[in-house]
Amino acid sequence: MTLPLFFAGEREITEKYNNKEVIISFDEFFIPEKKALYNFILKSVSFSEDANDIYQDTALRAFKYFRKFDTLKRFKPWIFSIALNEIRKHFKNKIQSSDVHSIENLFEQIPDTQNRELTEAVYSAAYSLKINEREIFFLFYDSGFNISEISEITGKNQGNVKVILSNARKRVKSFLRSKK
Amino acid sequence: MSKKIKDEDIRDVLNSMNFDIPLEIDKKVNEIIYSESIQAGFLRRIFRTSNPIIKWIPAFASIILIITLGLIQSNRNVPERKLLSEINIEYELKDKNIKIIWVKKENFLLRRLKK
Repeated sequence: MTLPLFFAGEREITEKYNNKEVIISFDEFFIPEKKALYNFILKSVSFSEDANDIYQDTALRAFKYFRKFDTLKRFKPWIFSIALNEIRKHFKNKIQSSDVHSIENLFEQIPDTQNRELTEAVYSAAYSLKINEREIFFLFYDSGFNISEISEITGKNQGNVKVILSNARKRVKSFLRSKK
Repeated sequence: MSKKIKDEDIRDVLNSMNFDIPLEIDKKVNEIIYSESIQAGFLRRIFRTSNPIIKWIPAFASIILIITLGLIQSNRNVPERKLLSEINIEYELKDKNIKIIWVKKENFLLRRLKK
């Protein structure tokens, strides 16, 4: 029996597979993805502290609507699409000027073992992209989604996603050239 | 830095800057989810119970409420409506026992009769 939505917010849901009842736990799906989710949000909001609130809202929303999640599909794109909506809401409410966060502070955290020039170029290129382009850039390069998954998460067609990624790649190259 | 940038290079750079979720945020999220699941669980347990009578309790309660409200409404003392609101004696002939009175009805309306 499908329960009405006001019962939403379950740690475990029971579904029938081949006439057998299977208990599906929210934690089982959420815990392996939460670090990637947090980092995607963090990078999308330019490492600002708002990431904590967005992460919290995303987790709670996912938990509330877990009953609606099709367990035959992958959980990661589903929860990332929720996160993306929360990020978009955040940018809608925020004055655009406050979007510029301390990227310089971020560069201070780059480990010495790492190629500093490339790291700075990649992040500078990412933050010079438009918000909707930047989210695709991070979904592909940071969260490891493929083109069709990104298309599903963002609601953009696959051709558009490819063009945005190619532009982002060109921008990284031009940043590196300008650093020379 | 003239070498070609591969997707893997960008991926490595981005993944090297991954941070752990702050402990207090992780704890807070767990607490919120836990309290939400307890709240939902209480209602769910009632709804999912194997006793079919319990499932019908909200329906029974609403039927009883409707009947009670209906009874209250029907037993209410509705004040009787006065047909004549005002009577005045206009003229009196006591020797002939004649009284001409003027009456005002509460629902009086001036109507023109249709021919």
